[in-house]
Amino acid sequence: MQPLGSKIRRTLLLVGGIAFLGAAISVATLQYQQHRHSLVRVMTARIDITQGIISELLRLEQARVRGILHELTRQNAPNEIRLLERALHIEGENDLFYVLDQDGRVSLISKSYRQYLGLSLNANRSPVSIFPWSPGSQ
Amino acid sequence: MISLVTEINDGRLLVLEKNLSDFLPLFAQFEQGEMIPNEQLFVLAPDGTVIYHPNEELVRSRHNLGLELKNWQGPDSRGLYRFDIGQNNYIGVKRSLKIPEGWKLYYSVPRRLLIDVVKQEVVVQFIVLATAFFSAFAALGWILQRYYSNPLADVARSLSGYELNEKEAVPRTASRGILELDQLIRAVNGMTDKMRSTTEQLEEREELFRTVTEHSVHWAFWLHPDGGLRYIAPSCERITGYSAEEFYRKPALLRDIIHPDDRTLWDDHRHKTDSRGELVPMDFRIQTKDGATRWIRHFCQPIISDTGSNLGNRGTNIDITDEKLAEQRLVHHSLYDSLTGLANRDLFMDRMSHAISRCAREEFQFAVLFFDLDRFKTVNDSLGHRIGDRLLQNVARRLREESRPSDTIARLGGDEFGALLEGVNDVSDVLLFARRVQERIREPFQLDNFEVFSSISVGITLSRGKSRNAEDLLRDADTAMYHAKSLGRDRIEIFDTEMHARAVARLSLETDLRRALERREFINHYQPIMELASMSIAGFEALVRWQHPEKGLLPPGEFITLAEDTGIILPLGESVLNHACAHLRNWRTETKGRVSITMNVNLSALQLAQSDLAGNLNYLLEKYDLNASDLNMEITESMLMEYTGTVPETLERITALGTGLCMDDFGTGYSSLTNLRRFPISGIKIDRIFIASMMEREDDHKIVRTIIDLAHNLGIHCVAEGVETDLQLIELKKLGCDYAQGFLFSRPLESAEALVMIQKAVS
Repeated sequence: MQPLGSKIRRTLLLVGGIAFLGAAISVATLQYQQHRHSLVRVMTARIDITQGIISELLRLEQARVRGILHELTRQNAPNEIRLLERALHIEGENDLFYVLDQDGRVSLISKSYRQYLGLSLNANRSPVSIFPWSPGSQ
Repeated sequence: MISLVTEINDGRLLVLEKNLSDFLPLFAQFEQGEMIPNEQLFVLAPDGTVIYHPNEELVRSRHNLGLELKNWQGPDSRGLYRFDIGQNNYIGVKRSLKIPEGWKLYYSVPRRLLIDVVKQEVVVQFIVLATAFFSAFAALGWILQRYYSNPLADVARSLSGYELNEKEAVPRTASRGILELDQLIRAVNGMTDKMRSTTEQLEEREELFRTVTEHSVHWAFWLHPDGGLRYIAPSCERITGYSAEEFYRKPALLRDIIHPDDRTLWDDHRHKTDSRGELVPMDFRIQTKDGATRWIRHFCQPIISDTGSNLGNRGTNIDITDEKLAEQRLVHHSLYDSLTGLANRDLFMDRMSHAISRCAREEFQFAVLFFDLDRFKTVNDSLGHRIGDRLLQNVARRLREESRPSDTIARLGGDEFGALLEGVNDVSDVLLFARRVQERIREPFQLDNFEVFSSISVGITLSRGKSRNAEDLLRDADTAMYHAKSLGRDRIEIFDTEMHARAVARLSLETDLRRALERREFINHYQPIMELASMSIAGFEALVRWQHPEKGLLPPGEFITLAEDTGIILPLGESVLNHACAHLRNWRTETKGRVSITMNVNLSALQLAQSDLAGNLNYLLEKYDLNASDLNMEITESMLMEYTGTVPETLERITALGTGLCMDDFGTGYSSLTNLRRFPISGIKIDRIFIASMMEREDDHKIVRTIIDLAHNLGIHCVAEGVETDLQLIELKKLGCDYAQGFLFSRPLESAEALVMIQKAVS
């Protein structure tokens, strides 16, 4: 037999403990979910931005290609070579422009890379992005 | 490297092969702007080759991460993936690029990062939460404690410490203004008021009940139907030695303490009580804790409730030990002799009756022995009743020692004992027993400082006789004993019919004797005693005669013994002495005192034992104006031997008066010279048997001469009795005998005749 006061204290301690545990678990879960949500949002935003930057970079490169292509359509053969060399020279040392003929052989390329066999579309050794010709989109 | 291919109008292709290093600054910029610690951004080609990774080594080695990233799980509803690399858990998002086609962007962070962040946030929140909870519940607890628990505790404390003399069981302030508590307190106080009243009544009744039971001499108890003990009064300890607690612990003790011989009785009684429901008393014995035996009167009755159910048995035990002992003592006293512890006459008669009944039913024989101590009265009179009682106790002990356990030994009264021997086969067995008893009784008894010798006379009767009842049998044995006694004591006699006839005759004679005294039928005759030297009358011997109305004049030999046995001798002796003195006075008067004659009177043993004999004698001398020397008292040696108590003093007082003392029948008994010296004897009478044959038998002649010489040598006179011839007279004169009496001189004469003789002698 226990005194009523002791019984009340023990009951309150038990109920309070259980309630506290429930509340704590709820808070912890809520906090976790909230932080997780925030984290997901941040991560999604960051990756979306990165994706956008890549797309933007590629769009710039596409504009470069279009410019060269436009020049190419206006130049004769010797000029094409110069154009490519100039483009190459202007655009950057790490970029390489060249023209494949209908057989897939390198028909125009900078002198420095005459020995280069060019891209084999069949082999597809590296990522290839093919932009359709659309003068109107200039 | 990334190839950008554009078709020229003429079918050619413009190819721009762009080094990926151009993208690196972009990713570097991403890394520099790190928003989340340990975040990782990497790009894979469609074939899984690492295009960009913070770990440049992976990029340089063109490491293929495609397979490793296949364990990405998800996405969940928020597009989040989970994956593990080794022991590390990650979460992340990914995107597939359309241009360049097949490129995939991955962005991940360690999952631990999320947990750490949550932890940091939650710990603080937990502290806040715990504080809030603690405060809230503490406040709640305080409220409950103050407004509910404490008031209830006050109520409980008050009730637990409640006493009847308190006005209120619970103070009303304890309620804290709570309606229900107020109601509770009011109810409790109301209840306690009732309880107080009820308790007082109960205590009063309990005290009454306790007083009745605890101070009761009775031992009450209540048994459950299952045998358990519901209540037992404390008085059980006083009676049994066992406390009430011991009975409660072990109810079977109620039966265990019952005497083993009475347990069957107890069980039967319990059975009857249970089955009949009657309040039937029963007496039984118990063995107390200290081993003593007590008698209990038990009452028991089933208790039936109003509804008819059995509530057990209520019993009351009463200690009746004292009552039983008194009853046993009463029975013992009524059946046993208090002096000797032997059976008394009633029990003896009862046992004889049983034996007689058994004889009638089966082949069975028994014998009844009647014992009588010889000369017991002498011991009683001389040594006192205390010694006499001791003698009887010792005789009883020896009788018991000689008997079998199946025999009944009884004290029939006085110095008479009886023995009932059952299952005897032959009279020789009975005689053997009687002789054994006689031998034991003959052994001396050491009683205080006295060594007493005794003997016992035995009368025997057997069951095969004609006696039909116990009284007859005992009478026959008594008759046989009396016959043995009359034949000289210390004898054994077996009853026969002739003995019975003699006994009847003796009884008749005894009746006549008593009547004769009343009718004055006893008369004195006087035989002269002659002085031989002068041949003159020296005196007379008074001799009593019975003038029987039917049988005529009877000599003393026919009734003296019976008179002695029945005690008639005392009044008879006084009568003889009185008549002798009266006649002597008459003779003196008639002869005017011219003759000097003496009177010899025989004393009996019983008379001699009378302490006032000398006084009576002196009274008669004075009454008839006689000198003491005119009388001579005749005694026998046997009287002196039997009575040694006050006899010497009595004799001294008699002789002191001046009366002569004559030893009668000298020579037939002890002939003790010591007695002649010890007592103041003045004369000796020689017995007639010596005188009668002295002339024929030399031995008798020598005896007569010796006695005469002895008397003379002692300085006392000598009288010869039974002188009938002249030769005897001549010889007695020759021997120097002083006096003589006998038919030669005269037969015993009546008083008147004696007077004539005297007158003749004077003339």
